[in-house]
Amino acid sequence: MSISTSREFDVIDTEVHQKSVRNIANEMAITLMRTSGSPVVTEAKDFSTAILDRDGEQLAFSGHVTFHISTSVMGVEAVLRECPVEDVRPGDAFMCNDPHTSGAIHQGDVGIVMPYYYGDEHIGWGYVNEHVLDIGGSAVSGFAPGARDSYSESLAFPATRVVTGGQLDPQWESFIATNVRMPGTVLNDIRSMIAANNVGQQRLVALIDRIGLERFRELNEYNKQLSDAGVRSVVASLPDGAYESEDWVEYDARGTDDLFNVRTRLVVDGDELTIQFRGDPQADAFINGARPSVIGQAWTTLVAQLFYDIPVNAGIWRAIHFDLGPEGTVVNSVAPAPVTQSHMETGMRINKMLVDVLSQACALSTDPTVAARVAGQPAQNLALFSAFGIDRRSGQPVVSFPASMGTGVGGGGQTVTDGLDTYGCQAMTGCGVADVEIDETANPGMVLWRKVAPNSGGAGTFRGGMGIDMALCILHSDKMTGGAFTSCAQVPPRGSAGGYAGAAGEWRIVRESNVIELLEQGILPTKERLQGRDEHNPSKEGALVLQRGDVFISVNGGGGGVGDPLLRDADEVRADVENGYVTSRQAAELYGVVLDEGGRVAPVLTEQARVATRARRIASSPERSITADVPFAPLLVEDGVWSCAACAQTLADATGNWRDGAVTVETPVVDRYRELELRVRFRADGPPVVIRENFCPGCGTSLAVDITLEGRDPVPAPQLGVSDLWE
Amino acid sequence: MEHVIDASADQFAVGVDVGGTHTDLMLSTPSGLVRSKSFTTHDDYSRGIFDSLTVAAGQLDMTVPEVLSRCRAFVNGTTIVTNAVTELRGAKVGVLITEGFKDTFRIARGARPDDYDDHAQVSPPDVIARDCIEEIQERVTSDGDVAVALDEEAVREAVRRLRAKGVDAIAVCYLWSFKAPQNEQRTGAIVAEEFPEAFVTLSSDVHPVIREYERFMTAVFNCLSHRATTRYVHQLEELLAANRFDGTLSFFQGIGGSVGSEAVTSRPITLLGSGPAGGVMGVRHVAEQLGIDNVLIGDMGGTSFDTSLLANRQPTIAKRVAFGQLDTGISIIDVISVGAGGGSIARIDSRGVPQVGPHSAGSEPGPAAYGRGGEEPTVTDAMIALGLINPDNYLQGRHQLDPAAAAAAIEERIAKPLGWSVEAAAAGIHDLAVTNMANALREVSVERGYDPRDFTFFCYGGMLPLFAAQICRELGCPEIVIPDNSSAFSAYGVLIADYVRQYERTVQWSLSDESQVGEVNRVTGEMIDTAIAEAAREGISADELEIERSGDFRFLGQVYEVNVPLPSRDLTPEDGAELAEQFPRIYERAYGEGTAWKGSPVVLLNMAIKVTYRREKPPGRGQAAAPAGPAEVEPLGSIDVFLPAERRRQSIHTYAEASLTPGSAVEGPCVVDVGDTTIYVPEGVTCSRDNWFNFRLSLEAKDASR
Repeated sequence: MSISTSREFDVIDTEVHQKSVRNIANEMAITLMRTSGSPVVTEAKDFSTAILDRDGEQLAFSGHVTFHISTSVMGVEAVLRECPVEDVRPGDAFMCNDPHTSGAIHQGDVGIVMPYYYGDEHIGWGYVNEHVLDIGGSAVSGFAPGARDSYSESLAFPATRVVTGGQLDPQWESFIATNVRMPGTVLNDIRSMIAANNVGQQRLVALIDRIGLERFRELNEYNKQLSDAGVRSVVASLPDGAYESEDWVEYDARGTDDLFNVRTRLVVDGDELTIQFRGDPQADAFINGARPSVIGQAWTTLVAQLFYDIPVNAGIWRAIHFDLGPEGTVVNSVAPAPVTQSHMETGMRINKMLVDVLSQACALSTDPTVAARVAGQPAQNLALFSAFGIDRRSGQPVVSFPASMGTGVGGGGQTVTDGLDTYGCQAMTGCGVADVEIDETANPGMVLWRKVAPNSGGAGTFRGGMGIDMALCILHSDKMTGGAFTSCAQVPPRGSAGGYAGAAGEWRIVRESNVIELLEQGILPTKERLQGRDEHNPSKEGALVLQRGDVFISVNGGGGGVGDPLLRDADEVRADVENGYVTSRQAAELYGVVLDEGGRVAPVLTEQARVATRARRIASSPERSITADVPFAPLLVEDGVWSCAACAQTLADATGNWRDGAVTVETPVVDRYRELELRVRFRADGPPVVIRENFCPGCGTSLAVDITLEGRDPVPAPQLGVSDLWE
Repeated sequence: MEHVIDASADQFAVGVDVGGTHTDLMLSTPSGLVRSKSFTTHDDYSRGIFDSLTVAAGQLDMTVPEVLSRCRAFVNGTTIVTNAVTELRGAKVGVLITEGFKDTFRIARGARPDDYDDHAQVSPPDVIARDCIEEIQERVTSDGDVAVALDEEAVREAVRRLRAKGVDAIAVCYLWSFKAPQNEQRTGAIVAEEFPEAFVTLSSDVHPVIREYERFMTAVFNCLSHRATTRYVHQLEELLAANRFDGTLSFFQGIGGSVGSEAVTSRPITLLGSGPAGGVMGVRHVAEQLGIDNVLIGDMGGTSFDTSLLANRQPTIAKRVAFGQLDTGISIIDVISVGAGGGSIARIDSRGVPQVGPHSAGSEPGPAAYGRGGEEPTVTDAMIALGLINPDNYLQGRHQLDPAAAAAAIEERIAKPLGWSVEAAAAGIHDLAVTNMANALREVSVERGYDPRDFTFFCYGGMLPLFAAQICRELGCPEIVIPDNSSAFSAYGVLIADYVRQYERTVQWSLSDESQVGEVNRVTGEMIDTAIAEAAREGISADELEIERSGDFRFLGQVYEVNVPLPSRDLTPEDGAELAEQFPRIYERAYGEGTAWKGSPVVLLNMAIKVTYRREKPPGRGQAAAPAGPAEVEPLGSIDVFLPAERRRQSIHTYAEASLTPGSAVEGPCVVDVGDTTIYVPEGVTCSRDNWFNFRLSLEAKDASR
């Protein structure tokens, strides 16, 4: 730890100060939530607030969307780039929503940056960001699945001064009102962000009145040093080495099943981390990642998995180095690459890959706290639509963005618990699923059902959380147009430490349904009674049309499991079967649990089935006995070799890939998932997505379940002690 | 204390607060208050109550029947419903729910905790066994139309299945039932035919407000807590009848105020939050006596610090309270609880920064100084190490403390890793505990637009008087009141309770639509009729009731509401126009200039009424005669302490409670030993005793920073 030894340093004072500044950011968040009208803010909690110092270094971060850790910094950078600081005045505020120029995640997440003053002195910046209901262009509610360039997506503000003297400039107000759907709501949301920024300014002045400006600055610096020290102490307990993962960004809206490869390499070197991302060339579709979303989503996973108790400020950035590789790729796109789904497409692949590489590193750590951070990937698919039409009930235009459908994805299994059901995406802490009665008020339709999707959570010692299965019938609008999407339909979320992958997410539409007819007859439309024309849609649709009576169905994915499912407590499996969360087929096939006629665990038969499952996995009787109970760290690297931690079977030389010594069973994922009763979308062209189950040849323990493409080499195993970076 | 008993009249009254550990009792007699304490008896709460009664009666040289036969009122605060809800233990509940929505309880509105840590992302527990949730074909649509009639046969079959599963309470949970309760009501009638012994709660009855998850959970929690509540009420009724009580028995609710047995057995959920609310109402009464309008309240226990606020002596109400990850529609007196109690543990985090709480050593193993195996240093240990708690006289000598163990734990876990002395480490723990409590107080004040400098801090419970002055310095709060009887303060609040009930209905009146006003008035009229009928059942006539009306307003499209008082008469279309015009100003008062929504219609979402019947207040200890002049106060002795704020060792005076007579005052630094608590008066602070025997600490008007 490298804390300054100045006589003025007092750790208690410093901590008290940290809480004070964080409280101010919290208060900004409360103000925003109370004044905003949008369920996207109040229920889905799609917003954040931050306070930065005059140099643009973070002091505190609050709210709920962790990828805004990057946008708050990059938004202020953009303001400083666009406007010389001497030209900034009290009461100004700048609008930042362009991933290519003003640090935004996507254009729908609008950041408002306001300079803060103490007396006449400029002391820092307030930052508030929320997903506004619409920002114009072809992107209804900020999503443009059909756009080919960023110009055709939506309005983009490159750090534009839209507020002067504390008021939204009338010219800009009129400009925005003319260009967005639902101008009243959007302008009110912008006013709410100004109000939240104002609260930050007032509270900051009160704080500085108490402690003085000099002490304020001094304590800020100490807090940055403390957060830096915290990050370093966690990183130091990861084994030095290089860890790799890869994934694919899906795009199928134009008749092809495109998969864009993305890769990461995490290098742990002492107390510093370097995270490299590489990817295929950028696409002419909204899936491209840009710098704010790629780095922002990296922070999402870093704070969820490793740095969850370290206060967010500029200090957390110091030991972490990001390398996005050359410009012009899906992980580092440049204008005019479309980016309205930057955070949910490439960005959420960043989450999946980082969970994977961090889990690989944690599993090899000797520090028990860090070793416990091995986890399955969260589902990260968000299957939903955004559309625009007239609500017949009010006669008014309406933007329908039923976030509840999409945010109900399952969380990854953890070493201490099953993944959270209907977790939301990893970035959105505190994210909720709006009530049906709120959804039916805000959207011109009727919710037909809302369930958890059985089997969606990946199997494991702790299984993944389950996703939501929900149907909305358009009833109060003749026609709505917009887009629909899901970002994880063909390449499902993986487990960790031998845990299985979870279900992927999908949406579909039942056209010309019998819902209206049933209701006219006084019969409740349910999943079983629903009839109509099933339409085969791609998983990205830029020209969505929903007509009265059409039913939009979203079935979200579940998180990956952690640990071999054969090690799951058999009674937990029984409870899952009884509750309908896991089918008896999956219980038998993956968990090796046998239930008697009364639905109780048959202990002897279960033990036999588990032994038989191990044998089936490796197509022979296991020769080695299990001597260690290590569900979350199935691999060991010791004495120059990789070995199975459960039975000590040697697998490969430590410099090679342990998979070379494992029994690997490869199956197209659609086939394997059909057997296991899990949902995944078929890839019609290009090499199929496959699942590779890697087992220990000695004892049949599940070591890792990989998801990759047919014919593709496996990712390298961890390379301990290696600190080389990619070119 | 001398007690002169007038045996001729029913002039006694009893307030009891049945807490998790202690059952506190406050008995009022014409000549003053008597307080007593006993252990709570969880198998049969009436035994603990009887024990407390016995102790109190003994102080008057009377028997329990002699005391109870003179009582005109017996008011209960009880933690049983709070326990049932927080521990999810109670009746076996079955649910009938709209078909297609069985998983509403599993989804739990997306119960993701607001925490970065993925290990904290745990699915909420099942309150209802999944096989006890039955789906029923029926549907009301968003406009209140009963689109699908109730499948009555399905209800009968489902109820029979639930009965066979041993369910003893049924919550009826249908979508949009607050708009059209017919299907729920018909279901209730069918359950009564099929399963008459079952306890039934309709969501539209218990919380007729939009947002189904909260409404359903309110119905489920009402069911969950009915068995324990009914048993408790019956045991108590038996006890009182056997001891010649023939006064009014009532129960203190989380919203403040008390209601009778019938009301609580049908609506047990109103007892949620009963205990903390008792303390708040007790403070309100004392503030009224002292003429203090604005009050911040703090209560420090072993594991938590509870705080609340009175502005113009009105408690703030928390609406839609959540328990863990489970949201409800219940409104209770807003008491914020943070993990900052005497047992809160100090540790060093990954940044090398000391932290205090939220984890607590509780009472087992408790602080290191308890000598029960606790190895982690707690706030109590720090106060012992500073010398501010006398280890030989803790809880009036009932518990011997081990100061060496306290010092060793601080040394090992905090002082040594930071390279500090034990005293400096203890002072650091003190400071962080103060910060945590001050932040909780900021949450109820500053974050809601109140300036703590305009407030008086009332504090009671455990060790809080040791910290109060320092907390107030952080907040800029100028004065502290430590009430007389502070150790049984909730029982006091319960004793003086009024009859209070709240009713609420969603009406969704778009103020510009004149045609809706009749419906709003009709719904309000229904609520008032219900309120009058329910009060009549407790012997309270309509003309004795105060009826306050209020509405939850918002701009169309918003999700949160602002509560605005309304006149005590039917609303007119002109009221609508006027409210629509005024609302932006009311809104901006809460959220700041320029925040009102331009051009958005204003909606009255929920109409609420609150009825109060002011019960006669029992006399307190009484007011002392005005003193002749400032009395000289002789110290009891001196102790050697490490002053936490000044960071230096010093010998300071100690004073006995009795030596501080009304009108007298002592200057800090010193401590006042009040028997069950200790008041620390830092340098620059004056401690005086007022005519009501309360202790008053005055802080010098100086900078609020340390």
